[in-house]
Amino acid sequence: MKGILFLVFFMASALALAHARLKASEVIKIRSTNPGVKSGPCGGYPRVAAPAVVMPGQTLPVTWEETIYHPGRFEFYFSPAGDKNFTLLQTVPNDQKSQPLPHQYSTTVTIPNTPCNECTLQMIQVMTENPSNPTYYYSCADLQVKAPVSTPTPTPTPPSPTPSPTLPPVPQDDCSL
Amino acid sequence: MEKSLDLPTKAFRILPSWDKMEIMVRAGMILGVLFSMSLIAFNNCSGGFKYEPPATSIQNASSQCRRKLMQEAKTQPLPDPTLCENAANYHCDVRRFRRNVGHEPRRITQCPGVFGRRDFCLSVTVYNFDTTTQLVQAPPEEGLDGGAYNRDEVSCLNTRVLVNGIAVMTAEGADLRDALEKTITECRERGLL
Repeated sequence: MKGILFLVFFMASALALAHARLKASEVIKIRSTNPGVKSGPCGGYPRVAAPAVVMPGQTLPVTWEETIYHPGRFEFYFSPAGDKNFTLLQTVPNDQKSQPLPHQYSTTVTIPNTPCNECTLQMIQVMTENPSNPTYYYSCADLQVKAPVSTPTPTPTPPSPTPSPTLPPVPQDDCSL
Repeated sequence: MEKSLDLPTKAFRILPSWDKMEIMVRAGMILGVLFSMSLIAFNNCSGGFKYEPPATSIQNASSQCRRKLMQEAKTQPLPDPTLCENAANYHCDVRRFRRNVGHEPRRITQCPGVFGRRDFCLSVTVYNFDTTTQLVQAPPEEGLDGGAYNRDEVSCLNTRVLVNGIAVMTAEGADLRDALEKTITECRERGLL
């Protein structure tokens, strides 16, 4: 019986189409399957019980779908705590107008270097049918950014002559009006 | 009398084409100077807000940036509260997600009866999104009235109150009257600051 219920729930979730929303994965734990969330930052939905745990600076694959085309773009933001202080990570143009629906999108985002326990990845679909009056859909996923536990090394290693790779900087604020 | 009126036209006709061009260029320059002077006079007298067409770069500002700008604008008093009361200063966009509505947008004039006023009529653009295909696959609740694929999403703005070219008096609602009343209320509250 439980198996049947799980199957029904899984199928319903898979068919729950959205205007545009994040798709769930191992590293994207979406907060809600409600399509077309109109109120920011996350439609008032509570955080998920088991957020994805990622490393500082990790690059995450993100996929999402759009079932009704709108001109505009998709903006990805990161909040370190409390769904506040969002910083823009990336912007992806909506460029699949001529493709059959639903439109499937994917990108990668680089998570900031600072650990946090209640961090949020937010996607905003910016719809610009009227560029002077854009409207939005919101979709959120919950994360924990944790540094890997370092294990003591038995023998000291000589200093490396080459510098360690640096992670790409995260834009703090794109608003310079 | 008729002949005297006709003389300049005839004189213009007999001028060589190069001279005609010169006269037209000079006339254009004079008109341009007059237009510029009237623009300067308007800007100097229009108070703190500037009614200018939005710059492309600002139009592309992120949603976060727009939100910041709008939050800041809420703390600024409106220099001319009458801007809130003129229906011609408002525009609304209706995104109609319904079965069998086609895909063509259209522009109409609507009088939604805001605050009981039947004479408050404004320009509305209706964007149609035919959700017939989506409803085949979507869960039943999304096809109910108000569901994601069977509803209207309305957003209104005051087109005259701009900061850095961005309309800062905007509001959304489930229907035209709701969204417009919210926008007007927000504008009036600014007028009281």
